[in-house]
Amino acid sequence: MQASITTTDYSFIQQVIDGSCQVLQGVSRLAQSNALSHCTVRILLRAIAASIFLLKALSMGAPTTRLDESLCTLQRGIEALRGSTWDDMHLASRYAALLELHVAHLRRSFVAGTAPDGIPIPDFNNSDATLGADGSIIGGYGSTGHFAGEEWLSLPFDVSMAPFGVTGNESAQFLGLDDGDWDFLWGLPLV
Amino acid sequence: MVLVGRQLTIYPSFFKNFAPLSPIVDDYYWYHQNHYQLITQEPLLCCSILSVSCRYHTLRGGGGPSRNVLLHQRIWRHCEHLVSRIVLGQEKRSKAKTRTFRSIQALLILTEWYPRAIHFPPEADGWDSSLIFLVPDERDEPGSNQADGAAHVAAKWLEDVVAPARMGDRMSWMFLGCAMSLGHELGVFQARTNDGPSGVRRHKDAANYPWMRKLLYIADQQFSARLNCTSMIPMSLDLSISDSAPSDDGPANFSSSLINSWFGLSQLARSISGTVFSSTAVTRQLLQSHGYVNVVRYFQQQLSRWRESNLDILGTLPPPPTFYFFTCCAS
Repeated sequence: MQASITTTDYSFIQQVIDGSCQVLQGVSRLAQSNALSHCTVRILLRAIAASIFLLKALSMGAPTTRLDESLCTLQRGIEALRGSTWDDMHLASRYAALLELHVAHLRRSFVAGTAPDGIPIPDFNNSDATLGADGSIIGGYGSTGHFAGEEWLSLPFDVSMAPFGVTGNESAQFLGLDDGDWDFLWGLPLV
Repeated sequence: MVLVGRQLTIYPSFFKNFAPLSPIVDDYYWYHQNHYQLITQEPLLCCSILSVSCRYHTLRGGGGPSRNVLLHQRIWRHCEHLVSRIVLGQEKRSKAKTRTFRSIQALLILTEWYPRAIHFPPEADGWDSSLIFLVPDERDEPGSNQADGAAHVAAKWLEDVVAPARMGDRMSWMFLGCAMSLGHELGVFQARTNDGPSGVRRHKDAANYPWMRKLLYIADQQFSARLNCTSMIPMSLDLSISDSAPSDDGPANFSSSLINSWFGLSQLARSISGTVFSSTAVTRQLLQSHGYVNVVRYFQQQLSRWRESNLDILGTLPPPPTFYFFTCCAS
C-alpha cells in the first residue's frame, strides 16, 4: 500500500489533513464562542466528515509530529462536540463519545514503517520504540499521550477503511456509491 | 397556539441564536407587530420555529430539560400533522393556511435543525416487529426490501450515529421535495410576471422568490450530493435561478453576497460531482488510470478562484468542504 503512494498522492493527502484540521479548529472556535450548540446539522455533518477524512488520511502514514498535532486537533474537536449540547440524544454528543473511544484505540494501533519513495522524512529517533508481538516496531506512545521521537507512522492496511474498492479487483463494489449514501464513511473498525 | 409564558422566552431566542446561522429565515416575524399574523396565518412556520427552539434552549425553572423534551415533542407532533396536510393536498378553511411561501421556509428550517424524533422509531412502529419481517426467507425475491443489518458497522455506531443520521437525511430530502413542490405550486420558479399558475396573483412575498430559488438550489445540491440522488431541479430552471436583478436581493437582514457566493460554490460542487462521481464506472476509471490527478488540479484552480473572489467579501471562513472532500476521494 505504501509503495503505491506517489508524491502527488501524498500532497493530496496532506491537503486533506490540513483542510480537515482547519474545519475541526473552526468547530473548536465555534464552541468557545457558544455558537456551536446552535449550529445547523450540516455544520455538524461537515465536522463529522472532516474527522473521518482526517483519520483515513492519517492512516495512510505521517511523520510523528504531524500525526500528534492532528490527533490533538481532533481531540479538541471531539471535546467541542461533546460539550455543545445538553441533549444526551443529540447526534453531536453521541458521535463525540464513540469517536473518542475509537481514537484512543487507534492511537495504540499505529506502527512505525518506511515512508514512500520521494517523501521528505525527518530524522528518525527510535529511542522509545518497542517491539510488538509480531516483531514490528511500535511507535513510542508514552504515558503523556504523545508519540516520542520522529518516525513514519501508519495504520496496518484495512480494506474496510478504504473509501473505494481495492484497485484491480473488479469484483469489489464501490462502497458508498452503490449504497446511495455515505455508508463507506462508517466503515470504521470495531471499537 | 398563543405566544404566552414559556413560549415568549424561546421564541425570540430563535431569532437571536439560530436565525443568524442560516439564511432561510428573515426577521419579519421577529417584530412584535407581526406576531398576530404569524400565529393566525402561518401555523407551520410558527410551530417549526418553536419546535427547534424548544430542543436547544433550556427552559428556566425546575425540571427545565424535561419540560423542554415534552414541549418539543408536542409541538413536533403538530408539525408532522401540518406537513401531512400539505402532502395530502389538504388546506384549512380558517386563516391558518399551510400552502404558503412561509411554509416553504418552515420546511427548510426543519432540514437545518433536526427534531429529537430522528433518534426514536415512530410511535406507531411495531406492527412489523415479528420475525417474519426481520429474518431472510426463501420467498424473498432478489432486489426486494432487506431488513437493516449491522454486519459491517458496530451496533453502537449504527444505533447512535448511523441510523439517526440516515433518518435525518431522508426526512430532510422529503421535506425539500415538499418545499420544491409547494414552490412550483405557488409560482416561486416562474419568471417575473404578475400572475402565478392558474391565474393566481403573485403573493406579497413574490419579491423574495428569487432569493428562495437560490436557497432551494443550494439545499438541493447539498442533499443530492449527500444522499447520492439526482437533482430535483431540472436544468431548464437553472437560468431562472441564477438570473437575479439588483432588486432581487431578498430580505434586508441577510447578505445577498453570501447567498450569491454560496450559490456559486454549489454550482461548482455540482460540476465536481457530475465530473467525478457521475457513475461508479467513471470514478473507477479515473482512479485506475490516474486521470484523477489532472481533474483534481483543475478543480483546485476553480475552487481557489472562487475563494479569492468571495472570501474577501465574506471574511474568514473554513475552507470549502468540497475542497478537501474532493482531494480525499481522489487519493
